[in-house]
Amino acid sequence: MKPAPFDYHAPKTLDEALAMLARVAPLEGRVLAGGQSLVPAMALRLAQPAHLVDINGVQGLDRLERDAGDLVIGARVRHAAFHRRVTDGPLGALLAQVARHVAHYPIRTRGTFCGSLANADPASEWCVVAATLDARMVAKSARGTRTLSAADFFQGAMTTALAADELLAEARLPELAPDTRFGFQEFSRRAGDFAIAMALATFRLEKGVMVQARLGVGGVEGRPRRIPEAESLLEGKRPGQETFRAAADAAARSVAPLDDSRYPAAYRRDLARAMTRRALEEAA
Amino acid sequence: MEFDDTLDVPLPPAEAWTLLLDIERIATCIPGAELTEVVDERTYKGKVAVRIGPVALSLVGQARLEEIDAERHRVSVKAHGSDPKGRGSTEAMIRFNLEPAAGGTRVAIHSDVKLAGAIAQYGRGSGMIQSVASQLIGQFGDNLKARIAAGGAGGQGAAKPISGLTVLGKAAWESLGKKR
Amino acid sequence: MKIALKLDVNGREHAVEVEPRRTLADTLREDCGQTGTHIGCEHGVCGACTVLVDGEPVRACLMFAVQAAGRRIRTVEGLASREGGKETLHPLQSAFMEHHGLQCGYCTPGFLMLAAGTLERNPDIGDDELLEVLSSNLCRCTGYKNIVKAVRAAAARMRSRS
Repeated sequence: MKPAPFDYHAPKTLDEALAMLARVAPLEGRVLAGGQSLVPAMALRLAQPAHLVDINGVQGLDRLERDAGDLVIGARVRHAAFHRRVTDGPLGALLAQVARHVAHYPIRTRGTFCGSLANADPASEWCVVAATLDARMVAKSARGTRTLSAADFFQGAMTTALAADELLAEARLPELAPDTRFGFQEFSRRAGDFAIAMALATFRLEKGVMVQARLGVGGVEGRPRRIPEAESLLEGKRPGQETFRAAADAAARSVAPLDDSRYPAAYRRDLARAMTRRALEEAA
Repeated sequence: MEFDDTLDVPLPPAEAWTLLLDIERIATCIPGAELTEVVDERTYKGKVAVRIGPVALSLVGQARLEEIDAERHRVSVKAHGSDPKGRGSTEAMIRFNLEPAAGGTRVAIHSDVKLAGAIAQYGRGSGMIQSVASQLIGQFGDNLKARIAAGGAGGQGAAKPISGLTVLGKAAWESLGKKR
Repeated sequence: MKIALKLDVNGREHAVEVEPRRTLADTLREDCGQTGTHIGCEHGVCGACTVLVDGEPVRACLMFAVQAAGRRIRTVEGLASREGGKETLHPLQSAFMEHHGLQCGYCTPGFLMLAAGTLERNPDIGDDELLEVLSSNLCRCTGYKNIVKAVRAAAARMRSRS
């Protein structure tokens, strides 16, 4: 099917873009970045925005660099940018590993990291990364700039704290300590399919025990989040099968899984347990 | 799919019950909702705006209060609605159970929702519906609390009807409730 | 409301006038007359519409034509080389023929452009990564084995040339 008609706007500067967004947002106007999620929805006429503000030509939105201990990722940065390690440390390696799970190669040449966050699909890999690492999201509008924590940003399936006239201008991922270990596991029916469950585990080892443990689960609930019940069972313990199993069980108990006829809640709960355990084993 | 939510209302159960059955009033607390017709004291036609990301659905349909138990403060609502643009439809059976709680009343909501059409098939919407519904219920709760705080509801409860229909309806409901 | 654009397709300029909602896939086929790019699912799942935009594989059904102005677009019609009035098939095209990498041919242009873009950027691509990339597109006829064979053969030939 063909998308419904819309008015197209192609601003060249951020101020122009924000002014346009302020004008068209109340009229069912949306941002067009990679379009790899929006355009399929438009092709099926599920989404029918009356205006599109194309940010692909906007100056200054393509930052991909370190700044004050964060990796700053601008709104125009494509998934494909992460195929090679963008930082020397564990963060670059983590992002490169996760990038391979994002859709397929031709989608990654157009789709954007920030677009994935703003879309907030439960199956999004970058969303579980942002939630687990406590990324900060910088939202800009004609009314000003505000920074949101991941916990505040992700509100539910396909829902973020972004107002209709706000652009997610950049995401800031805190740089990981050089000795950080990580594991990322995703379960889907076929390579490239939407994730049914994902887990990201990171920790450091100090004197043989895990510290600064982070455990995030995505795909299972409406939004990705860290699981404190699992993290508390890891902190201060030595890596090992029993510990990982206990943490995985805690994660499984904690989640309130999405439920549908294809993937019932009990199945997703099991997957949450399995992905958590595997991610921890991978990190160790 | 079936799922559970809760809603806290800062009113004692009897008043919360009366308020929640005042469909015309609480409809305005449902985000994006509009009541278009009162068919009878149990049946209401209207529309609700539901957003799943870039997909803005307007579900036009009907809600009917099925079982009303005024003694135990339980009510079930059968609702169905469809998107005028043909993108899908929904059927739901929602049970509300009011219990006293610290701060007023806790409403336990059990929903059984079916989605059909494009939104279910292509939008992977069926898995996300509970997340969307929870958000809707959350916003409804916030709006309701704001309404109560502004003094627009409760306090007078049974003594002050909002409209003639409500008086008639309430009387009918009370008597029905006692028959059980 | 239509917008006037100039599109660079296989090195030739096409002046078109299209609505913003017109996808690159439709514009290439209907307005530029290049029907080699096929439309399978029209919502970004099958990859039959894959073309190269500035050297990178892109799903033409997920890009609006207005977004492609000023970019170098290459479609399957531009794969074969034409020198001195003689047309030589691209190694990928020859390989697909030799290794029976197509039956109905509907997905073929998408696979050819996906492979061409990938091999041009990364001639020494490992087999695992190549398989991962080829998994991006769908084929109903061949069962994929001959497609993989053909691409591997073409890759080897392209490497030995350079």
